[in-house]
Amino acid sequence: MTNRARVSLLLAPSLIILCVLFFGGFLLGIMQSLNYMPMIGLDSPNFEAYKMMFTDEQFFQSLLLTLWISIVTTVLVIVLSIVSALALRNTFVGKRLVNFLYQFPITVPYVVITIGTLFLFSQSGSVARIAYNMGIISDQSMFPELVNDKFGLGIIFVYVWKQVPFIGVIVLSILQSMGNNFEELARSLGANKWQSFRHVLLPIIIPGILPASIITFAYTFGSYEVPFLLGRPYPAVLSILAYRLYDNVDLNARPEAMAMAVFMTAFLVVLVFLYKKLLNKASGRD
Amino acid sequence: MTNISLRNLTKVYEGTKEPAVENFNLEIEPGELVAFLGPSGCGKTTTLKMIAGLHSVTGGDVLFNGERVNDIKPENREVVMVYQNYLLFPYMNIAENVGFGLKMRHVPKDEIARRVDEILKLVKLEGYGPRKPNQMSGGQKQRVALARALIIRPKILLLDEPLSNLDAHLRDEMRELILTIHKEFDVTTVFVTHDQEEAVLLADRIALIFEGKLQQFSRSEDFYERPASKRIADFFGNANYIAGEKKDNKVATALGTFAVREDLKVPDGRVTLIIRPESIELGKNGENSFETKIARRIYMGTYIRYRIDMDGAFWDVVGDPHYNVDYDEDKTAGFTLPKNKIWLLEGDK
Amino acid sequence: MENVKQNNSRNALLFIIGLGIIIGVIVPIVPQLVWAVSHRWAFPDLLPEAMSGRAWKYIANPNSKVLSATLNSLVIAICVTVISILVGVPAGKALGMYKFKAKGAIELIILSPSIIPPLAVTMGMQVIFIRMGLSDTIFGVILVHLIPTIPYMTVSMAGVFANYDPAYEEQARSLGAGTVKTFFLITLPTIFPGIVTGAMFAFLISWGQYILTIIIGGGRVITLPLLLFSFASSGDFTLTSALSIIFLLPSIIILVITSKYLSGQSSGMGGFGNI
Ligand SMILES: Nc1ncnc2c1ncn2[C@@H]1O[C@H](COP(=O)(O)OP(=O)(O)OP(=O)(O)O)[C@@H](O)[C@H]1O
Ligand SMILES: [Mg+2]
Repeated sequence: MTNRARVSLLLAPSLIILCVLFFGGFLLGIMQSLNYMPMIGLDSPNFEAYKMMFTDEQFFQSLLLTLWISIVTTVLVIVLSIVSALALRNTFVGKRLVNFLYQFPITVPYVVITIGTLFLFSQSGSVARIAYNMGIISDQSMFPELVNDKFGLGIIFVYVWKQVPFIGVIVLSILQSMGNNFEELARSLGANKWQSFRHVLLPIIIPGILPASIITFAYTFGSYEVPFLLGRPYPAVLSILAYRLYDNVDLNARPEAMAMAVFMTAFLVVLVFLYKKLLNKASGRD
Repeated sequence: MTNISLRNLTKVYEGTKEPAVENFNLEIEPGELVAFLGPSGCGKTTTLKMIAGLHSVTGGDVLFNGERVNDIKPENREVVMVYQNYLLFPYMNIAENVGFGLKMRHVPKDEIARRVDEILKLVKLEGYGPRKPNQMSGGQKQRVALARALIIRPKILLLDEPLSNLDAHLRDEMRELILTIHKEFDVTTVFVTHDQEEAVLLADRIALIFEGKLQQFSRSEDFYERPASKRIADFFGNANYIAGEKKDNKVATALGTFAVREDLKVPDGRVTLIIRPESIELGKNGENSFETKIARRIYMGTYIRYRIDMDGAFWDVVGDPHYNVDYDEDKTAGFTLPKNKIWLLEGDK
Repeated sequence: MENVKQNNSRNALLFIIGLGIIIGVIVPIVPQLVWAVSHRWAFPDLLPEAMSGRAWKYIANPNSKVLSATLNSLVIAICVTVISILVGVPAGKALGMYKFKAKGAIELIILSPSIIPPLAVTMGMQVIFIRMGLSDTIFGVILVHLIPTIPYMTVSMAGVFANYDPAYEEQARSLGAGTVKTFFLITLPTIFPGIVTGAMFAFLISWGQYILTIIIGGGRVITLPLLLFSFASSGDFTLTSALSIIFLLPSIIILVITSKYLSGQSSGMGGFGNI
């Protein structure tokens, strides 16, 4: 068997399933967004759904909220994962326990931590109760809105909680494979601790975690479960808005739901494309 | 110029029991070029890193010009370490790599550029500034690493195995460069190697280290002529031994009694007599001569090596390069141990 | 002494971060553990007024939907995992061990579901699923769960195979082992830990799926996350918490098994964001 044939055979099942399901579904989504799907009686293609979407005030509010949540999450995740990984690189008493707990969120389903966050940070949650008993607040309503709030704080908390160890483990392995030598070298050349972090460690860590960070950004951008339980009905994140339109009793809303799905896809594709370009440009400097 | 003193320097790594470096005492003169020589894992790098301040000391002191520097941070010691695998920062080009130390000291950009050009010229890499490290050969990388260290005009230069990643040809070139740099910058330099030939070729003095302990610190001739132990003698080329009893500048052995120099500071009693194969003379030339059987005759190309029977043990003797004298195997022949080439160690173990 | 001072502040910082990790990870889980056995727990009480096994009795009751939902979740997740292994291991081998034309493009195709939200494509798919009779069926749900799990499995296996040295296989062959023997004695033992880790995470991805199950299962294929969401929205905290604990069990088991393999080195970490 030639290599070519072998590779094709190895890849075929995976590619067929993904192409049929994923790209098939995507194509069908585009068709429906254009109001064209004879099978279910949509046969006059038009751009109405997109027009509706782009004139919809709610859509822009949702987009803004979604971007806010994903960007803040990603920035926080990157910062916290680097800080925690730098700490975990040291040896200290109880490191095994801390290491184990650090990885714990990776396997915890989003639903579980979402519910936990609700119980912890809602106005009748554990933190509010502690604040009341300590006399910091005298009434439930005095406790700041941390879940189902305007800024998606609860949502961001859950995403950060889940994603920090995921990126952190990657940072740890970068640090591990790099060893201490680069930092030591920088120190001996006259860099202080901060300078050796800023000019030596960071430029090695950041490119290493960018691909994974883009994946978590995309996940945060498009996921449904967390904002469903911790978000507000209005404005809701894009995925919720899209599903709401999709699930509408009025089937005429479906094309707009599809248009929104297509928009989200296009947005993320452009983002990845820009990232690749940036990457090429950076390495093309050679 | 800076002198380095190591006083009872000891390092025990966290989580280990055996010290990596134990009770090191060493005085390095200002402007000296010193080699740390020893087998892998003997603590050479560890000692360098303690001098650089990159690893904390467990015990003892590091002094520069008599001042204790144990608590001075590495970036303030003006000691630069150059690593064996160059460690050029991969995302910086050559100029940025070389200028790194100046940038950390907030030197103005145009001055950095000027000094980078200057030093690249010195290491014969003029015009390579815009290249990335992965576009450089091993020898070039090594020179970049040197330039990066020298540009900040360190008081002390520490080179961790600067030659071991290079092939033979480049090694000669780099040796020359190190000597040139050492002369030009007048910088106290310590380099690490596990190749005794390299140490002999380059260093003013050699510190021989086994298992974290300093064995001997002296000029290279002394390692040949006055080794402090059998092990040191073996590390520097070949050596022949025979046990004996010393009395009045004479050593009585199973093969006869040999006269030794008067200035050897070995007390009378059991001793080990050491002589290098190349120091033994062929033929019986008066004092200290003896006869024995040639067990093997080995043709080495440029000379002949004999293996001679010394009361059950075998000695190596380097024969005449001109083949004027040539002994056959299994024949008896005469040899002489020149009195001033004999070295004695206390005890006969 | 400079060194001592430095060490002290370093230790203090380490202590704070270590404690932060311990508290940050454990505390958000704790209220659920208490809620699960509480009877009434009104504001502002710090502890419940009374304990109760109500939720657990409900869960154990064969007439409650919990047992069947758990069963559904298990069946779906196991099927999804098995299929993912079957197609993901070969694909991972192709990507990890061979160089070929269009490799970049194929990697892009396989990775795209981890960038593009599966929600976006599943909505479009549903009409076809109805036509094909796959909507509202377990089989249909299994199919859509494959969208996030196959890429994950493939990428993580590609990482395993990239570190795999085929010279071992060649050595075994040259020592006289046949194809089958070579596979079972050499190849499988080397890649097995990678497969197990990948499979467990594929399982978790399916296990935690909500929105895909809703869209294709149409609310008729009830899995644990569906029950959880409906209890959580209805405000029965006791039941929600009890269910949440059951839901968490596989995660804990899997973490204990895999924690020593979890390192960013495996490129398969790329999929963890999806769990
Ligand atoms: N960071 C460390 N932690 C624990 N032990 C270490 C560490 N670094 C070195 N060692 C141990 O200390 C001893 C000396 O190591 P060192 O690196 O100084 O040897 P070396 O003489 O430079 O060897 P080589 O020629 O192989 O570079 C070795 O036994 C080594 O295993
Ligand atoms: Mg070393």
